[in-house]
Amino acid sequence: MSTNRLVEVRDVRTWFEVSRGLLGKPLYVRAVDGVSLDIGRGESAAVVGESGSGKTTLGKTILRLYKPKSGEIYYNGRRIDNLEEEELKWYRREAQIIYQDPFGSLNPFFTVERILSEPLTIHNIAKDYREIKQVINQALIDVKLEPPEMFASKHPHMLSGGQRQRVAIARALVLKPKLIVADEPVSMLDASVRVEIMSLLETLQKKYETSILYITHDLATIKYFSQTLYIMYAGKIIESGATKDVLKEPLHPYTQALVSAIPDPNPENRLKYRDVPAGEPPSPMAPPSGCRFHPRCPHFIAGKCDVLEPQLTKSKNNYVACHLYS
Amino acid sequence: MNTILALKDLTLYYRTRRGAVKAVDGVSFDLKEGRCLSIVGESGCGKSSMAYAIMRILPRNVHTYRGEVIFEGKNLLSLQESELSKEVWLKKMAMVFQGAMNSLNPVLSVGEQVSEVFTLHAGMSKTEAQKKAAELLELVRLPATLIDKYPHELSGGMKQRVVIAIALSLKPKLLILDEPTSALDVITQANIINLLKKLQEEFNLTYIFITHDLGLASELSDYIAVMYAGKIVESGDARSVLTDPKHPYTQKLLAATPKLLEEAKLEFIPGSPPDLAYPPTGCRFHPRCPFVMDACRLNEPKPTKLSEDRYVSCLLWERV
Repeated sequence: MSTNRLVEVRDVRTWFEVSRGLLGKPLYVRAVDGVSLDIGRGESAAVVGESGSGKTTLGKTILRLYKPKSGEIYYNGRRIDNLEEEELKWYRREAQIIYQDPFGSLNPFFTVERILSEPLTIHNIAKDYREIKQVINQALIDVKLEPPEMFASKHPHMLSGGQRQRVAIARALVLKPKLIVADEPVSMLDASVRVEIMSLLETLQKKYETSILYITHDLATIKYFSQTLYIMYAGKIIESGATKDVLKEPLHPYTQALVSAIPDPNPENRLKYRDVPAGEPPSPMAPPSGCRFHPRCPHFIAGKCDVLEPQLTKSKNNYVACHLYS
Repeated sequence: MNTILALKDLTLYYRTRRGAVKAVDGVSFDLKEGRCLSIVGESGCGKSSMAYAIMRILPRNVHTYRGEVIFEGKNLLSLQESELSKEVWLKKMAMVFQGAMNSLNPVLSVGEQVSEVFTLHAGMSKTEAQKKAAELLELVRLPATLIDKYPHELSGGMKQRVVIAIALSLKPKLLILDEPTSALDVITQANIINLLKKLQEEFNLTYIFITHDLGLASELSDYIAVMYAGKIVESGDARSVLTDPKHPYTQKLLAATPKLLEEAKLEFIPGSPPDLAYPPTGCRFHPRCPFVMDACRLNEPKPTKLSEDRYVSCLLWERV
């Protein structure tokens, strides 16, 4: 494999068994259903999709918090999708997660110091308390919670949402991971704080040469912080490419709908209706045949889109899975 | 066009262990019938509290509630509670609460919940009410078959439409929308905004739209009022507030709003909004303001009229 890829995901499926039907045939929620993507070293990529599209499941599968049903995942050239939990401890140190909800992801009974020291103790990184203290101080300075001594002794409830998310970032960084999956890291924060936290993540990513995979529904914010976009719909990647190309010329009708649904602050918006498809994303238990977007697609071709599943192929600058381009 | 709602020095403080929290602190504005005013600001700036203060839906821990809410010539603060519930709520003004789609009762069908308004408030029989409920669902572009469904069978967007239908059931003139799309996906959000625009045209509705998202505000607003720490710092017609913001806070807020199609650099506002129990002296934005002067720390800026309907509260614009 080429050395500039940190993560390679090949045709991964993560299905959850929900119940068995009459004849004992299992029913599945097909959260991730045949996804391939690469994350380069030091790259920031983003998986963008609406709720229920499977983006969080994809992120957690890459982190091996879920085991995929099929497909392959390579980290640094080493296959990790089939490893058992006890064989994964080294990977837990290399790959970290930042959750969406800074109110729920930090243990309310722990001080900031304890929250940050846990990963160090679990992975036997520091040899004594003094060293732990040093690492924690540096981490708090990195995320601009200064003076660190003051924040170390606080409990999560004494911090604002933005400060808590900084603690969550510090916790992800203390192990100096090579990969971070950030699952909607700023969606619970105010607009003015969002930019600050995202900029901080970007700075730290560059400083520590970490790769970040953002999981988000917010195309407008992520465009400033991610070089590559993967647009996900109903468990599949339907378009991918460089962020600027995807936004400048979205090819898939779903991507076009996403781009046209987001209002920039512009007084002209008051005067018009938005041209967006009606309906809702399909059920992941029984996704539509053929192209999964076909029931909502304005360019639906009968006999083709509802029968044949489009494959991701290169068209212009992007990769797109749509029969209009094949 | 006549003024349907006028606030005069509306004030709402909450009583807490840390003292009075000044959530709404002397807010005044006029709103014309059939128009939409957006209240924009960060969380904790008092936007939702202002909505409650207008509707007079107050929690128990009210410390101070004063000023005037003149709705169609009547001051709501001087009405009896019984008059409010008999004559004002739902019939004249209604509200779609934040996260309202989770407020539907999970054990009642959609039809029962929508028709309940008619049996309770309009004294209709059950069959009459059911018919009305079906009409309402059509109004918000939902299929009539939904009437026998339960909330868990509906998507987020459908639930939000049901909640809007209930708010509109008794044909109010004023609808307060508190972040009505914040939990929805962008495409669903765009569909709901389209619906709100159509309903406004059809029924000449007046909206107060509360949001933290200036992009979303630009979709619906004729006027925008920017709120910071319990006060309106800038207001005016949407076009001039969006294209020519005067208050440093509005300017910063716009610069911090991501723009999908533009290539502007994204900024952030250093610091965080103040604690409303102990707001800063003088101008409440002064600790975060890039243009802060000594006078800003001492003197509270008064609203300065720049042109018709256009006000800004900032010492930079106050003429001596």
